[in-house]
Amino acid sequence: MPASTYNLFDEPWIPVRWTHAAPLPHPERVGLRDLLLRSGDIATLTIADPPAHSALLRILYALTARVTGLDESGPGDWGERRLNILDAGQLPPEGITAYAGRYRQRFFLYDRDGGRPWMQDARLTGQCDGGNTAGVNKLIVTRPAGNAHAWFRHGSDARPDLPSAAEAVLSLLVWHYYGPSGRCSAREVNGVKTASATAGPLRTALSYHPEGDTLFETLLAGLVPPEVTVRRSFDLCPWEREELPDPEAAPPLPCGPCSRLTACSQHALLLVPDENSPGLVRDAYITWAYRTGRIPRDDNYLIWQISQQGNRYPRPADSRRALWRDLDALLLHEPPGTAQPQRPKVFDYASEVSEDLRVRALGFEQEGQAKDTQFVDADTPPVMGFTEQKAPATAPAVGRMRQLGEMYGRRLERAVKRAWAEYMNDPKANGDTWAAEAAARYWPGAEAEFWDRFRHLDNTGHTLGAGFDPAAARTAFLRLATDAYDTVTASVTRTQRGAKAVAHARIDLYGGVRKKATSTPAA
Amino acid sequence: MTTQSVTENPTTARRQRLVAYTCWIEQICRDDPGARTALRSGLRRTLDDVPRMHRFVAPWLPHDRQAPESEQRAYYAVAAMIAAQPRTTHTSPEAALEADGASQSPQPAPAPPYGTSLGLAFALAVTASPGREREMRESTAESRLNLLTRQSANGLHRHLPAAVGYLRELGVPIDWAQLLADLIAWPLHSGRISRRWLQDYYRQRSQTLHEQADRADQDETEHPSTSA
Repeated sequence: MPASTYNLFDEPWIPVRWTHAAPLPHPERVGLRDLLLRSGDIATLTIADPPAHSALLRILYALTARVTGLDESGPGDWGERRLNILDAGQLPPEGITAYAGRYRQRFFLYDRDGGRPWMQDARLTGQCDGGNTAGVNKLIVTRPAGNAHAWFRHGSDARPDLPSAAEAVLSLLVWHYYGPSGRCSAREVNGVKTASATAGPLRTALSYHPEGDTLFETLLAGLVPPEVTVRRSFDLCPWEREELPDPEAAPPLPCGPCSRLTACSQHALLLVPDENSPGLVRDAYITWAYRTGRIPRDDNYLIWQISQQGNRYPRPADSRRALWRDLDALLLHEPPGTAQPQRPKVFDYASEVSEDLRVRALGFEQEGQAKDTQFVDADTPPVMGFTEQKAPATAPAVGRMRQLGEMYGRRLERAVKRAWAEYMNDPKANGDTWAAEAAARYWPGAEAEFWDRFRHLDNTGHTLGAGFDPAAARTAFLRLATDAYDTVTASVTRTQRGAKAVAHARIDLYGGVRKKATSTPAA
Repeated sequence: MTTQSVTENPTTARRQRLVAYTCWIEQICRDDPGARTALRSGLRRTLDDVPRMHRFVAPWLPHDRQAPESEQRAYYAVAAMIAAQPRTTHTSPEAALEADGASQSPQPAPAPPYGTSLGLAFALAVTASPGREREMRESTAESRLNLLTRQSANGLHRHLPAAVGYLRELGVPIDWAQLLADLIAWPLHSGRISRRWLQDYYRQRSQTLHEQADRADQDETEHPSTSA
């Protein structure tokens, strides 16, 4: 039985890219131990699926906090200790060795017979129907499973292509963080059978991570100081707990950064190895973790905003939305807007690590239940230097520029929709076709325009308003919108009604007819 | 029109030839009442039915190759329409010059190879302008223009004289050279031309509103606090 040999500390399962200066060898994949030991030589993780990337980053943040001792606020000043580690240029090897020595047995991918496979629940073999499991096609979110349509690859649930263990672990993480709500495999606990799961903690959300030149910087910059009350003996990751959680009881509340990063899963999974070829995963159990209650969502890497009903919710991932539109929400303490967005807490502390951090957005456009739409993965140029302490003058300019770019995008959408409705002579006509085409023409141009102007901002603070020229920015965005409007509507302007509708709705690009006469030009 | 040096551009050269032709027709209509009567007699007639016009028009027809009948017909039709304008416009050359100037000034920066379209003329007819006693009703202008844009070449020749006559009665300037060019191109490019007419019309009609909104928007951008 090769079951208990695959240990995630040792087996190479995390794809990475090395820096140019990194000493040889440069394996394509590394295990957790090598990853932590050589994080200063690793440029970045190269995980193709953004949700897996963001999930693994959270696991690594927790491990980083553990091996550096930054998981408690004392002794001494937390920020200073972090800078000391940054100066050392690597994560402390003795911390890594000690941690691996203590918990290595909990990092086995398979551990049968009442064991503790990593991030899994060995009890599921007894509690779920072994003849009716979810299967590997369900486990890997990019595959069609069950009766779903096949788009990009064919897959048969009867004879699936088996994933490698590395692929399966990443999918396991995606399920823990982005798992859907709704029906799942039935799990019988104490004679009661239920098959209803709650959504994972990050489902639909877009998370933002500061990213340095090396993985070492990235990991340190991603840490948030723990509360003074946090004790590492209570703030446990799932694999550090003595007992598996009781699925009948209310879920244990996170009481610190490590548990908040890793122990908020609402799903229980179990991977089944393939007996014939030990590198592959044959099957998977996927079901709920807690019958009652839900762990309150909280995360330091999301933009939280307030809905009209007054609920706090993370800004959702939208694959059509470019990252620059969130930039001021990331950089400003109190960005404008009725949703009162709060920037991710991690950015309050990230700039202490380095001025040249980029921002990486990772997410999964999906809905709360089963439907998944598209991955979101975006990256900014180094922007953290533009924070308030460094250049207070640029922040309003960035915000203003973002507002302008968004405003003309919104107006363009309204204009084409109105033109369409007027052309169809139906006020309820759905102009989504035109709106989508106009958006496809406008936003890429607007993004290029934004970064171009962003680069030319003066961050030394010598010029008033950072040298931002609102009139020129307006002209540029307006021209993009006008061009898109003309192109999209050109097809109907041959007819009288079309030409009339297009000419009428064009005024929406300028914000429509103003309610009051502009009698106060220089008020 | 004024840039004689860039005759290399075939579009500009063509435009110049058409302008020269229409100017010359306008001139003889002013100077020679007999010619004017002769040309006017050809209004709404076919090519075989206008013996008195050939003397004036034939020399201007493109020589290099046998001009297609549709093109010849456009030359004759425009000449007849120029001649059929109300007499007052012919008697005072200054007024004609003024009208010519007026036809260019309201259009913001016209591209040299192209004049102003009939759509703009209709829009100007609806807009009240100083020195004009009457104006066209919006619905009239829309339906007439719409009617024109949906015609075949034959239909256009049938409807155009009345429409243009109406416009001239109201004192709206017409870019004859451009109208001639559009008539020539109509059989092949009626879709593009009618689109330009319609777009010009509606753009001109909503221009004031647009400019106001544009100005307000500009103002709001540059002084976000004052107008918020």
